[in-house]
Amino acid sequence: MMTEKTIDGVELKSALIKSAIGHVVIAVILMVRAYVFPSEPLRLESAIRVDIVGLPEKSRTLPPPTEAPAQEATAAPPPTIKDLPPIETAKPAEPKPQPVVLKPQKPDTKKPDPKKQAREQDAALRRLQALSKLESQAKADAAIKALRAAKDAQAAVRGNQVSKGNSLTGLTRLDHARYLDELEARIKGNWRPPKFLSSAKLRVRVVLLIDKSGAILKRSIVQSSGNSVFDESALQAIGAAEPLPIPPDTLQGLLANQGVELDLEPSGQR
Amino acid sequence: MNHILKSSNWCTTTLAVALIAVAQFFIAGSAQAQEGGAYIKITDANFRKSLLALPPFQFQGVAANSPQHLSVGKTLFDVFRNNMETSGYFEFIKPAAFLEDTAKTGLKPAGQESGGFKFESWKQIGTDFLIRVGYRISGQELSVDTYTYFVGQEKLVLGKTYKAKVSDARTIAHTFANDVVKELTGKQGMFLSKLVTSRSTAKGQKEIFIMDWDGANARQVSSHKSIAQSPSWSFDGKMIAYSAFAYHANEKRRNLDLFTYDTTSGRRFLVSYRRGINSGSAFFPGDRSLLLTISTAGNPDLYKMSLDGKNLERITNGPRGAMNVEPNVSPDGRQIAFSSDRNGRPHVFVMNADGSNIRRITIAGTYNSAPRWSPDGKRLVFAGYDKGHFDLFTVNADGSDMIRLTSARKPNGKMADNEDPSYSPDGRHILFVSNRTGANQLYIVTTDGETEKRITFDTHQYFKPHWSPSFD
Repeated sequence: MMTEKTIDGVELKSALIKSAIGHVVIAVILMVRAYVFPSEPLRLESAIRVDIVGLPEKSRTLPPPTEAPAQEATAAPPPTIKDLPPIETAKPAEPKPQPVVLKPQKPDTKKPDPKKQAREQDAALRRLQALSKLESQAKADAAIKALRAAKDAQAAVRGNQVSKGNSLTGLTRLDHARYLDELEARIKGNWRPPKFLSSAKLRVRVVLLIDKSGAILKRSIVQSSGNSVFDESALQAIGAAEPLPIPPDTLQGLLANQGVELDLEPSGQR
Repeated sequence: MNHILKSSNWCTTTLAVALIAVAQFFIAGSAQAQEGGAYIKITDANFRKSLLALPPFQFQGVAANSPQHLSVGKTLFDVFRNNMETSGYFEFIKPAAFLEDTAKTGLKPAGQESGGFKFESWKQIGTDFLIRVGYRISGQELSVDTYTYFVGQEKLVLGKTYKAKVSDARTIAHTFANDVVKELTGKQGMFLSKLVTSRSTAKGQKEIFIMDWDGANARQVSSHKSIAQSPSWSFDGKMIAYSAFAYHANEKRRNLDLFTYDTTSGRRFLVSYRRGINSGSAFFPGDRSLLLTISTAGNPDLYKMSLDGKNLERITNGPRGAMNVEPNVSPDGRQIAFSSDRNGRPHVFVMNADGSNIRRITIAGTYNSAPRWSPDGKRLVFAGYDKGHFDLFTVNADGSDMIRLTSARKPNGKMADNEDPSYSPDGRHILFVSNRTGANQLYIVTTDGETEKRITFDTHQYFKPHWSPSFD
């Protein structure tokens, strides 16, 4: 017994030391990181809204009961499941189901048609909603049965429904993305750099401040291409695009204060 | 034992938690960074041609002393203007729109010389570039003063004087155009480069001709009085190799032999005269060896040999009954493009310079031939047979991203053939033969297929031209 206790004490001590060292190392990494990887600007690009619909078979690992979304109140009675094991996946503490996830698209190298994109996004949303309805009808029963068999009579299946979203995600973000698409199309349509620079591999970055009426407050080059003709063509494109589309309410503050960064870098010609 | 196990478990758990904490911080960190601002990336630009004002060149001497000044001025102007137009960078402002009488205003802005031009009057008509040129002739000496202004910034971007013999007026115009292109794009212009081609003669024979890129100064460099064909330039632009049906007196027969011709010394060498075909040659970078098709062994296959005809090395071998022809060496010397009917119909293939790793590049089409590399080695151009006629196509060296460059009709409404392509040294144009007028004439097309230009205007037939890889 004595030896075992000693071993235990030593192990515990060394483990504590390791732990302490580990924590210090992590703290240092985090501090250094802030200098090595400075934060980058928000890349609000065209987005696809995806509703992650929870599948009924996951009901065994449902989180503690949550308030049901309003539009589903009539269909699904409030949950009363109390002693199901908590969900093991990430974000167990979310107060609400969080089915809306935004997936940023990579910058498209082809010319995106904003209208077409918007249409596609809407269509995708509708498809998802229809799908989830079908799924919920088909699978909700099975899930409820499983739950009943397990514990209680009433089932609140997490997911299987499209949330309305909240102010930070969902449609507002879609609005933002749509606005930036529109802005991009307007500036791109007015951008006519000279052809003799078409294979010069130049890049200019401009920050553009826009007021709530769509007027340009300021445009400034934050990174010159080194070619004054090319830089000038970017500024001219912005000027020619004025008045710019009116920003959505939720973007007005950002656009008027921090502005939007335009990163113009034509890919070379064949 | 139990305790120890537990303890180590605890240790692992701590580590795991720490790792998760780190990971979460990184994720949270990038999310936080997202509050920095909005960002738009624009990668495709709608490039536009710059508006160029090119007033007539001013003669600044005494007209009576140099009666040829009008023709010299016309040559300078026409050649230079054609170069600027071909560059694809400019659109010309019609002289009728000029607000100044350019015959009376000076070549420099008003601030620098009395009677000079005003930037304002050029800005008003949207001019991007104004090029003013004056020239003098004394005896056989031609002197040309040039001023290229970027009107938007009221800046002289190029001011240069050229002096040469009157007979070299074209060379001056080409050199000036090259300087303008270099100044604006940072890249060399191709206006001093040369073409070589096989051309029909009055007696139904074909001989080899060299000419300027614009078809001027054509000169005959072979006189076999038979069929001379498939010429190709060395990379330094000094030698050409070609094939001709030469008469072998001792055997009393003609054979398709390979010759080289030194364009500076005028010396000619018989390099390969094996029985059968000795043709379709291409130089390796460094110009010490050639690649050619030889058919002595039965089927036409590709061989490498040094310029003196020695060190013969077989590159392709079959398959039985298949042709391996029309080789072209990539600019880095590592790859060979060629055409072969090893899979049934002729298609474009690429292999390593030693003949290994043969890859089929074209799948589509029924007859793809005459591949040539772009100067950067990234793309190939070839002629492909489609719906009864040949057109030009370019494709990445791995077979992706194929585009069609040409499509033209003959006067009778039928589709014309466009074939035998070859890249310009700057990689922006492709020289080819088209029968759209009824006769095989030389044309060039930009690599995006946008602009075509006819180079030769005569009644000869042209075959298998090659644009020199050298800029001069």
